[in-house]
Amino acid sequence: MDKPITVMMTFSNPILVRAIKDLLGDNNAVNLREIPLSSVTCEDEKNIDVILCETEVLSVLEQQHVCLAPRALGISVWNNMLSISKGDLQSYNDLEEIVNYIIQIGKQSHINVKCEACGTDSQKKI
Amino acid sequence: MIRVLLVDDHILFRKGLVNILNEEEAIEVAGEASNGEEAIEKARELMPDVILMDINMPKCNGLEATRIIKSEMPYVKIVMLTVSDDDDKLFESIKSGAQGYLLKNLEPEDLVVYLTGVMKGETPISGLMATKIFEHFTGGQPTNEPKIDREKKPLTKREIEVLQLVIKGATNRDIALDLHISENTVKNHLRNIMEKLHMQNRIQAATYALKEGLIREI
Repeated sequence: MDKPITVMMTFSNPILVRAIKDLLGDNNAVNLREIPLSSVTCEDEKNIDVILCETEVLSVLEQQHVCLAPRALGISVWNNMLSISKGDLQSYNDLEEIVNYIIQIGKQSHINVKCEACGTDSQKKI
Repeated sequence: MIRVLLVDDHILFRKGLVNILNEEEAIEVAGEASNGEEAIEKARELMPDVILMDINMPKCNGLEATRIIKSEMPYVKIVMLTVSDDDDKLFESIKSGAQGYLLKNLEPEDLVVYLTGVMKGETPISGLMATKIFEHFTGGQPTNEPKIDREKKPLTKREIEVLQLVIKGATNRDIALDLHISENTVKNHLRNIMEKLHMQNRIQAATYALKEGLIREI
């Protein structure tokens, strides 16, 4: 059995936090944890496979934590839209689509990169 | 048991709400709808006690759905639950017949309290939105005094004398001695003054009377 992927969620909306916990909490493929956005550092690259955040937060991650940005999945508070840090935006009709996206990001292979913002050597998922 | 219909096109959010409310013994999620049209159909079919209604939805938005449902089923209580803190949406919701306006960033336990309250005749409104309503009626000026013009009954000569002494800092006992009346009579005068001027306390009443020229500063 594959090692569970570590998913960190940084939502500030309490109902969305609860919804994500309900969605992923019992999923054996996922190890779900909560972390405030302000606590995220590039060092977390070693421990985090996927960051779930509000869509608006993606640009913050791209600016402040380049090495973590490719692992982020933005979930809109406004509508049924998902986005990844490259700017793609797409709608979902089913909650399973969110789960599939998370697992897909978490399982992608790694390449070595150096974070230009903080200089940390890390692995970037492609 | 409070039967609730949840109306929101945001699937993740709606499912979160379902799970939160289903944990409450006093609340039953009677049904779900993902747009205004569906909300109208489900309301007719399920006859819920309360509808939690999003505003921005496809097909028919929450405001239109609220108007239609309230015209057919005035007893159904509708509480808007939205991410929008827009003034226009707030006032449009009230005009459409909504009993409350909550922002989606609320805590789950607060939602349960609000839902229980709405069945007791309370009006659930998020703090920010309550401020907007207050500002709307006070012209956007923070003030301790009511801006709304309410009919104020004229003060008697004796009441003006009492206020005149209040503004000088006199206590009830001082006023009683000065005007040769009992302290209880002073209290009654002050009670009448506050009621006539729609004020909460003697200082407010005296300040207002001074500002409005009802008494003179000595």
